[in-house]
Amino acid sequence: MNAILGGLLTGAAFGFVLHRGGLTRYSRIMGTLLMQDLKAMKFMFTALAIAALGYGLADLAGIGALAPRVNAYFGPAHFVGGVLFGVGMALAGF
Amino acid sequence: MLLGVFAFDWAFLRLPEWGIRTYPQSMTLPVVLNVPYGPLAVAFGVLVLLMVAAADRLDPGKRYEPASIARAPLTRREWGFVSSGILAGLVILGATAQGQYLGISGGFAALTSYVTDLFGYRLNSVPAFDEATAWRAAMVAGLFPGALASALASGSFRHVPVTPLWDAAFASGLKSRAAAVFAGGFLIMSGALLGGGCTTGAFMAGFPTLSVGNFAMGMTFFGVGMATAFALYWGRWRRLGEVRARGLNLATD
Repeated sequence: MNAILGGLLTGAAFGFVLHRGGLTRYSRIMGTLLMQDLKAMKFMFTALAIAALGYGLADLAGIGALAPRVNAYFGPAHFVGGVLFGVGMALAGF
Repeated sequence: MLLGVFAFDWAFLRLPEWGIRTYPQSMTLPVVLNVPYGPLAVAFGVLVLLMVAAADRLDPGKRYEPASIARAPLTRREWGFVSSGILAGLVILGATAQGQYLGISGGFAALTSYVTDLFGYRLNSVPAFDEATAWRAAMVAGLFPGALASALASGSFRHVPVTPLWDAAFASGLKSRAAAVFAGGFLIMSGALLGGGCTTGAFMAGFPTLSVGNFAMGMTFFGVGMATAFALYWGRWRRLGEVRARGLNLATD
């Protein structure tokens, strides 16, 4: 039950922030892909920098609770998936 | 997107045989470079922040932001990238602190498997349910209510069938937009599951872990995404500026 509640709250917080940041707007996403409006790109890089700093500092301080689960590497699937995803992202704009 | 989940699930068992998805192995930048994770992650974070600052100085999109928006109350308007980006980063860290991982495509597959389980079928790629699958499925279920709460709180909840930029660039109405969203949704979901993550799981949450697989995926999809966007908007390059100059906001776009 705790996992479900935690998941719901985390998802709701993330959905709220994505909407408020303007990441649900078609023109923001296409603006970033067309290099004419970088807000979506700046938002995403800020978020991942904060996460990287958090993980890195926690690692240096020896806080094991903030050690991230690392995604595996599984070969050419990343590139095949990336091509499909890239075309889809530009078509749909989300 | 549902079709994308099922397409991936059909291919899932055949992927090793096709040789494009080898047995998962742990490979990260610190392992490749043989340096400790902590300092490298901090250095990466600082480098990215410097890059964002540089991008902000060069951002051509800022001229479309009317000054009146910045004066509107925080509850009503769109937030800047600094505040919303930091909050998103904290949500990613919060997911890790719960022992979980923020990834929307994986969560979508988990949620799908829970739903099909009601009809006696489970996805090949999500065959067993544990705490992590429950968390991910619930997280995806929470996304839409969260975004809806933001839209309602800002008073920007509107029904906009065709987003104005699409309408101006392709002038073709609901049918073409619906087809693009359908095809895009299918490609996004199947591609994300195949490549090990979406913009959230592979990029925003994946890059900070310095996973080589996530780097490969993220760079591929942004490169291909940009190439596709430029191809789509070939000769319509200025439409984005024209539409934005009319004053789009959270409610109309």
